Amino acid sequence: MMIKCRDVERLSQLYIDGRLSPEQTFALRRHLSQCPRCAALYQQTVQLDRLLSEYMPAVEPPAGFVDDVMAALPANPPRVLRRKTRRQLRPGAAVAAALLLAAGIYGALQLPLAGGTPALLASGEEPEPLAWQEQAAEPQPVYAQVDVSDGEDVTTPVGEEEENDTPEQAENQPAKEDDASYSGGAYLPTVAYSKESVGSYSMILLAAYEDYDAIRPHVSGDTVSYYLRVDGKLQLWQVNLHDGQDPHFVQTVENMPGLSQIAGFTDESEAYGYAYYAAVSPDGVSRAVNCGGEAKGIYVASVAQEGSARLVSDLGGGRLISWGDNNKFLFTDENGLLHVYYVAENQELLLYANSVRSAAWAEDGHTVVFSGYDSAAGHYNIYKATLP
Amino acid sequence: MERLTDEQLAALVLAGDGQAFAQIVERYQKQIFALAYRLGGDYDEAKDMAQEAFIRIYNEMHRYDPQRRFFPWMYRVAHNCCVNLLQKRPKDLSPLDDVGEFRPSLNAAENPEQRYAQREFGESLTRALRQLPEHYRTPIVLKYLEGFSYQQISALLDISQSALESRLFRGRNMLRKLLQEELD
Repeated sequence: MMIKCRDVERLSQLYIDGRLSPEQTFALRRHLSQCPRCAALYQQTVQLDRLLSEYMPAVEPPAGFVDDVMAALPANPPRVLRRKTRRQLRPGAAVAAALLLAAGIYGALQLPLAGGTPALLASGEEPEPLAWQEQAAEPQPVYAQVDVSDGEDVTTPVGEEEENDTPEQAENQPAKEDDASYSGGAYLPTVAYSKESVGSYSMILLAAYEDYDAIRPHVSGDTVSYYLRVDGKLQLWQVNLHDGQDPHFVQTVENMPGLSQIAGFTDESEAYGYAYYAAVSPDGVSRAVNCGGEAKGIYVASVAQEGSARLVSDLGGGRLISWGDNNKFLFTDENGLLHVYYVAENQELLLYANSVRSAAWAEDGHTVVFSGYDSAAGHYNIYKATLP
Repeated sequence: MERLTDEQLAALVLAGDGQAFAQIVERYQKQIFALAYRLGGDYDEAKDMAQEAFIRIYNEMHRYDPQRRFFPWMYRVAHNCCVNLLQKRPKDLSPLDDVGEFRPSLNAAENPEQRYAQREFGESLTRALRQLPEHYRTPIVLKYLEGFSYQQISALLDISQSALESRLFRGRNMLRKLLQEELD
């Protein structure tokens, strides 16, 4: 294989990281032996890698650490608990599950980075939208029928399951104020290293149904409409964006609005031959594109200036792009994860680390509703996020 | 047992197999210890924190969902545990905000001049790293400071390995330029 000079920097880094195949390695070395300029570039790359390794030394635990840990473990093994099966809801029953949580700070959005001392704020790929799930202090069997996403455990000791005849009552209970007090930033699924912040956001579960996906939410005024497919029929449900009341069934419908319609983008994939979803900002100034294929990424361009597109994120490849106000838009990546991009700050943030089917903004340009997958429950729920 | 996946080991732990947890500790002691060290900045304290983190992981095992990957869950429990411990420690010890400086290993310099030069460079590197956008800085820190593999970083950040390659590439390029500016 032939290597071009413009590829050398990237290949050099991959080579140092041990990520090249033998064939690529051979080709790179051959190129370096013939091109002094690239050889110098390679040396710079090696030097940076060496400095990073030297100045960020990996610390080793002391000898005998494993034995010390094992000796310090409690005598009793961890109790084996398993998830409780919630009662299946009947189609058309009153509210299946609507859990409005007290709005809480889930973690500061980490925006511009200057001057921040590196400090791990959050990590992990846990897809739960509600940050405090891992924060419960000690393992406690929970017998109340609470929704899986409200931060309480939904497990119960083996053999101690009991049928709950009134799940609606329990599931509709507003979350305790304490639940919203977590501020460890665990909701941010990416690892954030900056103290600098421009605000905070809250995340609320608006509606969840046993065994049904709640999909395609959109907002009109204060009303969130969404859909359930029950026994092959499409049901329209609504819930108020703010008042915390239970959702209610509206009617059976034939169709629901399209993804592009509620999110406000156009699907130009056919014209381009690969995934290409574009949306124009509310002021008509900027155009954002969620692009798949070889050019995968998120691009922002000036509507008035042809050729002004710039790559702002190497994620992308999803089927959604949607502007809130003129400074931020949502997009999904190729795995369906939901991100928000702030234009002025040039900052992307992962909002929901699990598959998102659709999303739509409220009229304020800061509040977004979306249908996100809840791995624990095995279906899609409707969430509301309020962003700065 | 060494060949078992993390998830298989977790299942054994929940079935009461203590050796399976020992294997988990063996497998991840380096990462969890490095996490504790980076957060706390003190070697002895890191030992206690890392030990406490593993105990917490053990006690929280019943919350682990076997449908998901074990490592990100474990790492997050450990991280939360370490942060909680640091928040409880006396205020006169170094606060969270002050840790995370990048320093050369103590024995690297042979004389005062070299030590001074290394410290200067370390400070330049720290400043340059702080200027990196978060999505470029995080993979670099996880790779070089925490010693994570590509696979582990991908899992932690929930991005593909090709996306990680791209971020590391761009991040290191940007870092090299920033560092050059710092040193100039």
